[in-house]
Amino acid sequence: MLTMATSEAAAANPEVVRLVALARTGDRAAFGRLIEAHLTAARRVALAAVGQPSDADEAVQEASVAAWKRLDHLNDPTAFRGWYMRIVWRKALDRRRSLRSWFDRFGASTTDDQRPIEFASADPSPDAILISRELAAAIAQVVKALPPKLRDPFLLAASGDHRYEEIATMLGAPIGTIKWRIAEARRVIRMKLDRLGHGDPR
Amino acid sequence: MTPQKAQMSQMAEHDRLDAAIDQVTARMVQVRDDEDLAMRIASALPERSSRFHLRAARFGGQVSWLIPQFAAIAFAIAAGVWMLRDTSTPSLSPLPSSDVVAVIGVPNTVVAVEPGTVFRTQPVELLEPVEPVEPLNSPDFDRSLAPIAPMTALVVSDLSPSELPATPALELEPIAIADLPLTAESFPPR
Repeated sequence: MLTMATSEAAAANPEVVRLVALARTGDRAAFGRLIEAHLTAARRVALAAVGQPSDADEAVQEASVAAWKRLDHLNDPTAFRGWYMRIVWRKALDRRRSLRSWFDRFGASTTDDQRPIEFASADPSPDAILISRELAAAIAQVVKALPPKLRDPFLLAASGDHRYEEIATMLGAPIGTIKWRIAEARRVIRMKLDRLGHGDPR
Repeated sequence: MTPQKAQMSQMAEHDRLDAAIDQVTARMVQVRDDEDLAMRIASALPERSSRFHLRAARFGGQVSWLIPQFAAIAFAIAAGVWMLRDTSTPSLSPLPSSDVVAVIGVPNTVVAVEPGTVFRTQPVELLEPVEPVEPLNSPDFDRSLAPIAPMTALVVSDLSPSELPATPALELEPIAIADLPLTAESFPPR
């Protein structure tokens, strides 16, 4: 049954299988094309973990090198995306731990949760006009202040790149737990916004 | 405002806040486009040592792939030798009395030596065998000590205060203070 499912998946995406086979022989260009399709999602995954785009890109580069070295351990080439995302997530977590330990050791005032928020796009979308800057800053600060167990799945879900099953696999938790954490994160955010005066008028 | 309208207003505000949360969190994980990142990563990749290369090396006659196997076999052999080595301890039976060696001439004093003195090992001189001492049948009065008499118990008798020796009463002689010559010359003039 597993073989049948694998063959069906391979038939569904033969290009990925071909690129994986080429990359296994040492073809760097094939590997570059392989990760290019998932690079934006990978950078978002890393950004959800480390919070800064520069650190996220560093983590993605480290993860790509690790995936290149371990490509022989990928049993199912059609599952490359999930396998690559898990490596990216682990590398980003390693980077987050090292950054936190660095800040703790040297006592810098700009800790991970206190760094300013960087938005990739300066010009707001038409929907963003409806949100005041004060509310956006309050939401961002509340999200960054969440405990990692709630913040990580919430940001991964907010990226829109992954299903709950993929997030559960990435974080190594049951899907029910992931759903509860996302709902709990939203509840905590709303509660804190209410305390800051941005909640529902009651 | 009717309660129904107030409830609808609250729901609209609830949805607006949820939409704001979704929008801000989506922007928090938004990344700038970097089209060259994949090529930069690909160009910086190191050389791979895949299974295919190892198999090719094996078929090419090289034995570098056997190094881990050789190391494992050597470790197993070393562990086996270590486990099977003779770990029995020598017998701890007491030596017969005939093997007791008399020690003669052991120095019992420590002599102060100036610093910097070099000690050299002296050659060992051969000693004449010591004749065994025959046990004595009669008591050796020259070396034995006289027996100690058993100690008698210390007895303390009760003593009443009347039996204490009388001491004479303490007598003090009267203190005589002579008159001081208090005259006008005793004070210095101001």
